[in-house]
Amino acid sequence: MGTSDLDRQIEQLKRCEPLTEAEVKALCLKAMEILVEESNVQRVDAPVTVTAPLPPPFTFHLSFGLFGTAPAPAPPLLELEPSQTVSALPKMGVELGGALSQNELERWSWICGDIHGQFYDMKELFKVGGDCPKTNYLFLGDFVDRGFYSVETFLLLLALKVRYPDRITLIRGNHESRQITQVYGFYDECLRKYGSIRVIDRKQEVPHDGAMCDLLWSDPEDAVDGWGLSPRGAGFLFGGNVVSSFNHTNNIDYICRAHQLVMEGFKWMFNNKIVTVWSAPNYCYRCGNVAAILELDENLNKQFRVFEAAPHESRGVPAKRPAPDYFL
Amino acid sequence: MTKAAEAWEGPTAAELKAAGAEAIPGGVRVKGWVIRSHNGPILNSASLQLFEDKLQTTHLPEMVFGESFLSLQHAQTGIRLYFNALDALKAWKHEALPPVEVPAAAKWKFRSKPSDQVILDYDYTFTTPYNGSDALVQNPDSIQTSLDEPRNLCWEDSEDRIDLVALSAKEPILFYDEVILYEDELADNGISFLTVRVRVMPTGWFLLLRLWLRVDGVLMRLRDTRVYCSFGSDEAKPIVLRECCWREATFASLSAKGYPSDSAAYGDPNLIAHKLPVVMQKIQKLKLPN
Repeated sequence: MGTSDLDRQIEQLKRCEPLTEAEVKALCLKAMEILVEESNVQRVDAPVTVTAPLPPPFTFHLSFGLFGTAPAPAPPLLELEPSQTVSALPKMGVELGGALSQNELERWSWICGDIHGQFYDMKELFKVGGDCPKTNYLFLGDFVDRGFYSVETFLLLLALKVRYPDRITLIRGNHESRQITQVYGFYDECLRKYGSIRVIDRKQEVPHDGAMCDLLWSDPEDAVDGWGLSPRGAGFLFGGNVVSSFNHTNNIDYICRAHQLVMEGFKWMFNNKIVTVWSAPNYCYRCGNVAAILELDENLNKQFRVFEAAPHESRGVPAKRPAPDYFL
Repeated sequence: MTKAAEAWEGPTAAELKAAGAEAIPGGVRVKGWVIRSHNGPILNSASLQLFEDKLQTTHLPEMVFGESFLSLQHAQTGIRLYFNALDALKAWKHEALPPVEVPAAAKWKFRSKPSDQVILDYDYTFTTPYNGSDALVQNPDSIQTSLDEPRNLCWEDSEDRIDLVALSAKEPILFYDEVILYEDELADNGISFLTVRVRVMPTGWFLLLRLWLRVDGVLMRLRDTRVYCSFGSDEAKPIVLRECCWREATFASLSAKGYPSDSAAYGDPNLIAHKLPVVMQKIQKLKLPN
């Protein structure tokens, strides 16, 4: 990703126009490269040094109010270097509003609190504090949730970070987490702006809810037309209507999935709208089922290849009758 | 288990002869009993449909070994004990326990749910009170299925106990098998497993029908039915005792007693049975038909 690309993206984001998914992905990768190199103790030029635990799995949050009250709560989220004192901080609340000269602006670092997706208000912030590369910024987290433009807000900050890594520091707030964003808006906003499947963060333990969980734990069910809840109390079941509607929405002919044992190796349901493929013959070495694989040719013609278990001798499992046991 | 045991090829001719027994296809004939077992594949789609029709349900265990059975038949008295998945599932359907919620259910309660959602409430654990099927058959050679309606046997409450000392003797085993009737992985939330094991010795036979259920993080149930027949001195009058013992515990209660609370610690029911409190126990004796 070149500088000119980044500059273009920054300009686009400043107009509150989100990036394409591919751009977001590239930006995130680039940001990760930078962030992973930053240490937990991150030095910010001029007047203060802020230390803070940085990337995942830690979740933390600094609010602006902490600055007036050293010592910070335990565990210390914020420490000032001994040589620098709280009084060295600009009195933000008083002096904002264009009273500072450009020269003064450029000498200072601005420490910014919660943004919460209020994109246009963040633009005000930059108007007040000065543009990013000219002025240092330290953002204390909670970029997302609650406001309407979490996506654009965070992407702009991220793009600035990638473009000017030494001039802007982003630390993580408690809202920069899956659980919180699912409740307070950012997650839904991502789904709205980028579609569902593509935004799933699959590089994690399977959570108890959300799209990733549902994809891994839901099964088709003849007994319902729409949605059903499993008798286990967790896990959705879906019927023919749901499958038809999903296929229509996503412009696909049928869903191909696995996960459930079928004696014949494959099983169509709901008028060939979904097929389960099972490829473990003689499951658990005792079920006697055949297995199948589905072949698609270049014209997407389907052909199931059904196969049986390997011969006993090549399977490494004793084929003899069970050993007798003096069970009680 | 030793290597030698794994390579067990069945009883020796000498052992059979000494016991007056005869090996038959899939079983053994001894002291007036014909004991046979069969392990078949899981139901295919067509037989699954038959089961669903018979049981009036569309929810069956993932693995139903519908053709598998254990049968013990006594020629002189017409006593026949047998064990099969269909009857076990009939009993499950009849008991119809309320579903057990998995731990994730607590979190799901707060999820937004589709408005047209249906909640399925069958007992997905397939917990069954089944303790075997029995019948009085006139023609001892007929291998009947439970579809017929023969006369049932009569069991009476008993003070007797199964003679564990006699059962602990390392007699030759003339016939041994384990028959799985059904099994379900509870969609990766644990296990439900109904199996029957039998061993036949020169002095008697013994079987253990066991329902083993573990819903991860929630509860375990162990429902054992042990049946012991001592051949006794009179071949015409076998003594058959049946002992049912149901155990059940929640993970929470085990944890409170200082036992582990992770499912990984509860893989083998043999090892943990004693940790599960007994919730039902009864001993019955088979009344010989006149």
